[in-house]
Amino acid sequence: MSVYSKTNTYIGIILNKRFKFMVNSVSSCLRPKPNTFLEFNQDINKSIIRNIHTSKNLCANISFNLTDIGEGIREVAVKEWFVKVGDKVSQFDNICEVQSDKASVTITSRYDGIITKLYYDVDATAFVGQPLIDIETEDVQDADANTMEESSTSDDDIESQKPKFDTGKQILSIPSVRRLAKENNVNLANIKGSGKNGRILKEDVINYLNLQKPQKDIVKSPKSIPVVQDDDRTEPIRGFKKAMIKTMTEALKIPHFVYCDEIAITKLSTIRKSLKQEAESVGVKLTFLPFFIKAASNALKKFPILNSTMDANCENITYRNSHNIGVAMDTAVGLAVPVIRNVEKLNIIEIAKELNRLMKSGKEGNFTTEDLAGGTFAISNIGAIGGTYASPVILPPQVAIIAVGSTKVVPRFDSAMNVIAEEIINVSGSADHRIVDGATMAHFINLLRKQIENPYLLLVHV
Amino acid sequence: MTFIQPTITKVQPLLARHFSTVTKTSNNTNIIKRSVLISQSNDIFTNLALEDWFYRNYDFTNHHIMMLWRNNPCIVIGRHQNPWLEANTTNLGHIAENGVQLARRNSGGGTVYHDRGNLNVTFFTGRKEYNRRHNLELITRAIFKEYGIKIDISPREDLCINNIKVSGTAAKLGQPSAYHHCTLLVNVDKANLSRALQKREYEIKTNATKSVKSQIVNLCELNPRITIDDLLYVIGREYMNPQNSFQIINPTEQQFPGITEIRDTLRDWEWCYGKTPKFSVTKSFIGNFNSISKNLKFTINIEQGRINDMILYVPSGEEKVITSLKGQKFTEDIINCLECPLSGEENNLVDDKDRLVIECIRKVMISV
Repeated sequence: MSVYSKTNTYIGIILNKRFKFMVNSVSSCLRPKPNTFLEFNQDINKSIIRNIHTSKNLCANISFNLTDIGEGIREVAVKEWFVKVGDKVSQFDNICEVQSDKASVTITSRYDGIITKLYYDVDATAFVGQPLIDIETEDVQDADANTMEESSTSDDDIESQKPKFDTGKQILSIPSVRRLAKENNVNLANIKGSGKNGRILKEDVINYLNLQKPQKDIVKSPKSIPVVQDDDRTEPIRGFKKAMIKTMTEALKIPHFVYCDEIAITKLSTIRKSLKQEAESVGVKLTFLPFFIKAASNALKKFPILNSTMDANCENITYRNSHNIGVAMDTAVGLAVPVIRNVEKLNIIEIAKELNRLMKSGKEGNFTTEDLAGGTFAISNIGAIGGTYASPVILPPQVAIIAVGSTKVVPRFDSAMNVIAEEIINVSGSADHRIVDGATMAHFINLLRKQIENPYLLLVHV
Repeated sequence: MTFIQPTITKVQPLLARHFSTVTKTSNNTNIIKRSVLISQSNDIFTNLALEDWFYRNYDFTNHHIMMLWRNNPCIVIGRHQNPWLEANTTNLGHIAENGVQLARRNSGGGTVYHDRGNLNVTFFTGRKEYNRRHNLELITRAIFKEYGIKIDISPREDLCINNIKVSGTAAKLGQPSAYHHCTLLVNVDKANLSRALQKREYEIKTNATKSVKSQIVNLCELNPRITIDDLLYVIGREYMNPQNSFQIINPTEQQFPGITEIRDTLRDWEWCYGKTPKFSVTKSFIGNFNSISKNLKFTINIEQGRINDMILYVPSGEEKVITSLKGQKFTEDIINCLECPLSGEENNLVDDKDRLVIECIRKVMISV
């Protein structure tokens, strides 16, 4: 019987029916008490040693989802389980065999740990992206993509995180082991792995350190795991947040530059008000954003490099024909960037309609994968919440993004040097400085501004 | 039953979580070598063992392989299929000159018939580069360039001409390798094929993958110029790097340590028949007892190829469970043996054990 206390400290007082001892007929031997774990050492005549074992673990019960099999397959039949509840598995061990049409796929474990739940019986249908098994792990493993919202179905998402090599040699180990090694300044190339296929396990690193520096106490958990106190709340990072971590880490590898400007939207404001009723009659809520989206699309026609994607190796630029403009929005599930496809073919009311639909999906938290995939350019309307200038982050593999601040009325000078009230909005644009230069971005924003400040130009370019 | 791991140590690359795309270009270091191997063996079990050996032991990151192989007449069922459902198990020994063997492969999909007029093509790649359509397009391209025949790829990813199949496809995906293999009907004996794939007369209830039957046609019927040896060369040439040449391999234990073990497992009854997902067989017939005809039905539940129990349904509605056959390996003969005596016919092939069972059944019947 093991007892877990609130602070996750695991005190092992185990009821073990099979004592390892040799009973001596001498009556001075103490009889074992119930509910205690007794470990006898060699000279049993003398004493009974009671051991209490404590260790501080953070146990994480992780739901391991069925990862994308490929070929657009959404569901498979589970044909055979190689493990059962209570089995101990290592990373890369075989978990089960599933079958989809003609492909028989072996699913391997992503973590070390103990199986706590199997979600399907043999011959049941398993769904990609849904939990397949639960594993209880000992260590906080490196959070990796075991969900597939947004990223896996899109062909554009080529993520090329370089594998961490210590030297040029290929070394097998899981990320938490690498972290442990790094923190203790151990070169993994010097360690011989004892795991499957020469994999370096945590025990190998610990043994190596024991040999090198016997005084150092390395059994302590690595520094990066924070000490958790009673009233703190820990939750595993899943879903959109996880995808955001991945995307943002990738994104900030791109050398950004930001160009900002101020746009006068007084004229646009008047037009919008007059069109509002017309729009409502077709069931569409008309805001500034559709105008910006259309103006951006028109400007992208003149500066197609901003609507391009670059491949992971920075060898090719693909100039994308359709303007699939993503609109960053705050949704029930976090930051999402659903895409309005082929903006160059839509008029402003159609754009507004589509935007409404996506915002509704955002509120409910149910986007389809088509909604989220295939974007070529993005707009962030942070102004809906507030702010002026921003430094938006590009969504790889796109190369540019603009952010629109909130509107405010400020005093400005007109051509006759009179002070007038002008409604202005700030726009900030970021681009990938590896292929976009400042002048291109400046011209683009100028063209955008020209269309917004003289909205009649939008009529001409439609 | 699990395979015993061969002794060779696998050189496995670091499993990067994300991949950069690698293309077949000639001016950078990421060139993927493409070779064609032709197996000298015509034994289905040896060839399947060779395929499995590569899948488990070879590192395909920078080297993709195409394996071309041909077999003596055999039926190959998919990983999760039921041989009794798919093949004419009792008569396999009498079809074709030396009989037709039965094998179960590791990949999914349906049942196929192989003989020397059938060419098997296996595409080995790393897991990430697995692309079935790409492989099939390579084959259709090669055939079109050489023979002018246009082959279509059906939605189920079979190769057909005018909706008649010329090939079947199956795949196996694991970490870090994957393979896709397909058959190509060049000059197969169609009569033997249909005899070997006959349907059963009794009812089988199972969750095993059921094959989808289709009409087939040989490529040689469409263009008499096509022969297997020719086709082997044409497809291989389309696949491999221009500077390479074909490699003929003889699957010996020396070159491929551990292959004998794999082959033995594949040949074993436990794998071919014992791996069948659990199923039940039901047969209705008319029994004659003391010149009274009664409608009878029995159901046999089979798990892992062995009989679990047998239930006899008597006309009064009772169910009698007969467990003396439990643990016996299931064969179709058992059904025939049980049926004949019960319907009054004599069957001299019944052995003593079965006779005892039949007597039990008979007694049960009479008591009702």
